[in-house]
Amino acid sequence: MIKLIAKKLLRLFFILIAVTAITFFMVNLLPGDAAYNIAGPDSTAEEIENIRKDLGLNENVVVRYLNWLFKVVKGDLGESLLARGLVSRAIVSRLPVTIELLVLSVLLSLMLAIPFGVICAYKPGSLIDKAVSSTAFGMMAVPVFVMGIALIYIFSIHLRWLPATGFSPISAGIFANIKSLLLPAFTIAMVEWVPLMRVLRSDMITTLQENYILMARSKGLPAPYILFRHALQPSSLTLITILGLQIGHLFGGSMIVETIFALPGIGRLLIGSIFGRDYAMVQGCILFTTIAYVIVNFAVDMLYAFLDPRIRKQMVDGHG
Amino acid sequence: MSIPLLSVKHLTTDIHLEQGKVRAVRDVSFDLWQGKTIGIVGESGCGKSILCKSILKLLPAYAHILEKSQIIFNGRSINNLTEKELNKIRGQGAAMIFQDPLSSLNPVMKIGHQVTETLLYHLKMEEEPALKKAEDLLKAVGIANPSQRIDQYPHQLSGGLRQRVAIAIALACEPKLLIADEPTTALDVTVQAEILDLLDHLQIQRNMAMILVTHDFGLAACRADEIAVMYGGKIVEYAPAEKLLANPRMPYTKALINAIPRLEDPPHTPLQFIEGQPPNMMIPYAGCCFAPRCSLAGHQCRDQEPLLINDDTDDHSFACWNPLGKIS
Amino acid sequence: MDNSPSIFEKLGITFWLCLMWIVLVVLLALFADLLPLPGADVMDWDHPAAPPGTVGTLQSLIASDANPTEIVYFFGTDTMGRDILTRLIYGARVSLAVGLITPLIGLFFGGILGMLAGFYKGRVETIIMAVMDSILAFPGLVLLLAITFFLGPDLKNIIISLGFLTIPSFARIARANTLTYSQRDFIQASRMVGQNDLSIIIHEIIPNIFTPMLIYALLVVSYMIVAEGSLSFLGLGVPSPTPSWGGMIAEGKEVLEETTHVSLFPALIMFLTVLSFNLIGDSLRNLLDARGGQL
Ligand SMILES: Nc1ncnc2c1ncn2[C@@H]1O[C@H](COP(=O)(O)OP(=O)(O)OP(=O)(O)O)[C@@H](O)[C@H]1O
Ligand SMILES: [Mg+2]
Repeated sequence: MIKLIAKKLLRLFFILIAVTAITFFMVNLLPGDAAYNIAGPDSTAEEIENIRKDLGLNENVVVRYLNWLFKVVKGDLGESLLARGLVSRAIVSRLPVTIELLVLSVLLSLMLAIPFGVICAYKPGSLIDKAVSSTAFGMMAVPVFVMGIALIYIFSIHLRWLPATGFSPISAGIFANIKSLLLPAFTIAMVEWVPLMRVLRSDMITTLQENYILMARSKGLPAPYILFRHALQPSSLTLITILGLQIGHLFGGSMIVETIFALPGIGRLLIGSIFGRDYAMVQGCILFTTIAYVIVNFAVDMLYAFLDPRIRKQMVDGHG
Repeated sequence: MSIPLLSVKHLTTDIHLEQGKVRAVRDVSFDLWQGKTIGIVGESGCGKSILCKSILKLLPAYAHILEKSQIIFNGRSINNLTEKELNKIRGQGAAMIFQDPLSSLNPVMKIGHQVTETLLYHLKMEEEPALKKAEDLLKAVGIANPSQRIDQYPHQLSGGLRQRVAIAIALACEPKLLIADEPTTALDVTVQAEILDLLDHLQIQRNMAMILVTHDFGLAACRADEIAVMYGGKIVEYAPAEKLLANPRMPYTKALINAIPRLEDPPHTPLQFIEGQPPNMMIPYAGCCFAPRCSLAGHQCRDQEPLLINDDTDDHSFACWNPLGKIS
Repeated sequence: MDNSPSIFEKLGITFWLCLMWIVLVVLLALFADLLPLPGADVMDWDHPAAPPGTVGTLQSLIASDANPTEIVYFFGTDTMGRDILTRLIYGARVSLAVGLITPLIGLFFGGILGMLAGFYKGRVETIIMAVMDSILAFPGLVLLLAITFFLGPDLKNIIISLGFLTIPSFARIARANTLTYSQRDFIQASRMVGQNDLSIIIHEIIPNIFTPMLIYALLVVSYMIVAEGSLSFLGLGVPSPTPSWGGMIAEGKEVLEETTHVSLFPALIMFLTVLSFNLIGDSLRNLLDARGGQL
């Protein structure tokens, strides 16, 4: 068990090193003049020279990387050019919005994926299964930005139920806060529930053929109880994997939804900084979202053990 | 005790596969009285498990019980019961133990919960007394340290222990009928005897009826009151155990009896096998389906299906055109 | 064998409809310059955001022609009075270029790396797969933004960076398939007799892993069309005057309260195209699975 965790931690460590290195060297080693690209086409030679000095393009690269890494570990991501403040502070202030959006959208997509996945697996090939599965297949072809616009059109322009833009922080009341995040979260959920539903359905169909499900039926337990209490947990390993990948992606991938709905989250910070050529901020955002992604995936790996006692056992045995 | 606890009439079950239809159980009828045991014996694939599952309607979606089949449990036909009423019978009236104890417990659920489930659901017991009762049940099936086992998961238990847990689960709501589908096939020999003795003991204690499925004639002969021999989905011979053992009329039964290893045999006596392949149930067969493997088969056997008829005594019936002679 | 269904029947009507749609889009994109269309950035200031079917007049369909030409805007015009149909057709060029070229990059490099890993195993495999896994450890869209940010957004850079991102998944599939095939007796035997590795790879491995890789590539096509759309939607795709579906949807979003057609048509076309690639991939996979089942 300890050996296994150590192995995974080691892997996590290497990936983090790779991630920071790539983020750092991207600015320094790419072909073309990074300083010119960062400064943008309208910049003067002086501006470019300043940026080049800022990046320290003339010093030894490895030394600069180590210096930078040392600062990053201390939480110093440098200073923003535009916002005139610390990059780390800007990221921390945007973080709650992204996390809130993430949690809400994960909850909504599970609320769609689990019932539909279970119903479809219970009666595969039935009318409802066919209807749900083909709707889901069709929805896979809807990009998240199209989904966002469609939902805005339906719910805020046509029905006028929910606001299309504008974020209301928790401090302005929890109800208003959730209301302002509901449509963006629903947009993400409508796209993300599909793969979750599909893997749950196919894993659950396999589980329902297991002997212990027959045994549970022979005990005279009602079908919903068997589906949710006996079959759901053993069928949810792939679901958790996909969910973990999605959460990781959403840390950075929420930028589209944040842009559509004008939410002040990390993703929009990144986009804004790209347009503003605020390279310290861009670097900070990329670093942050990538690390968040890597760590979420690591956590999901660990979560497996708690879902399936057999894997827990393998981990313990692996120690011996 | 005028009516049987379980009465099965003309039970016929089809399995629909991609390649075609398999009639896994054909026109099976038998009666089972309270406290008695019926042994169902037959080679692998002859339809024993499908028969058991048909009785409790535990079949997969691609299997169908034909209309003419009748199953009367405790004086009540279960043909037209709703799923809810069926669940009541499954939990409380009749319980089942499956062929493979290793896979019939839920791997991600604690033993205690799997035992108490039926108590909570059917008997509406509270959590605390249910757990208490679960411990008693585990003790009753011979598990030494029930209070620890309750918190364990199936993979922490040996095969024999898991089958004991399965028996405890089956007995939890004190069923009147226990269907044991090859309860010991997956276990090693010493554990087999223990489990069977346990079942005997519990059956007498609780006055349960039991359907004991096995492919081992010897085992059925010493544990069952009556034995039904199945071949190709049909009952081909049906009689009280001693009578059948002493006086088999169907050549197939005789072959099964010969296949029992005897203690008095000198060591290294080769086991007797029945020549040939079990029938392919996909292909309809005109005559007796044992005919291709039967040394006594004549052309009537190949052309015309023999019906299950009574012997001169009315508790022994068999389906054969050329029955073996009566040894009296 | 006579009455066994032909490939045509086996694939089903949906497959052929999807294929027809894609062929249509490809042909329109290829021959856009030959069609009687106004230019993609010709603006008709008399008819901004005009609904589908509006008839407008264009000053210079052909530059030298002084007489105004009449033109029907079948899909309406966008906020700057540009013909949406024209922009959709020219936008298809970007989507298809990204969607069709990118997977080829992944297929080529990923295929080679994966085959090497699966064929030679040992240290080669460890190193290749470790690198692939670290690329996969990045969140795709963020890495994509980073690369295009530092390289500068133009079609070439977008294709290269998207292509780079697809290499690891192709490598994984190639490796897994190569592993199973190189276990086969005849390959083991060929190696034993000392047949040249390269010739084994070319004659035995590649033909066998090609079909699953190609089917996966079809899936990647739709991913890539969506990814390019996302970039353009964010304003980080191909630079401005060049039309792209994602960019058109973003423009339409601004006037959604007044009129829907500006974003509706690009969204619909994009949906149909992505759906078609998905359905084609799905039918081919089913066909292949069914064939595998009969073996
Ligand atoms: N899931 C299934 N899929 C296809 N055919 C099946 C299935 N279950 C049973 N059958 C068919 O039904 C027939 C009877 O099967 P059954 O499981 O009842 O045999 P059995 O007598 O219990 O054998 P065993 O001693 O091996 O348990 C088999 O011959 C098989 O062809
Ligand atoms: Mg069986």
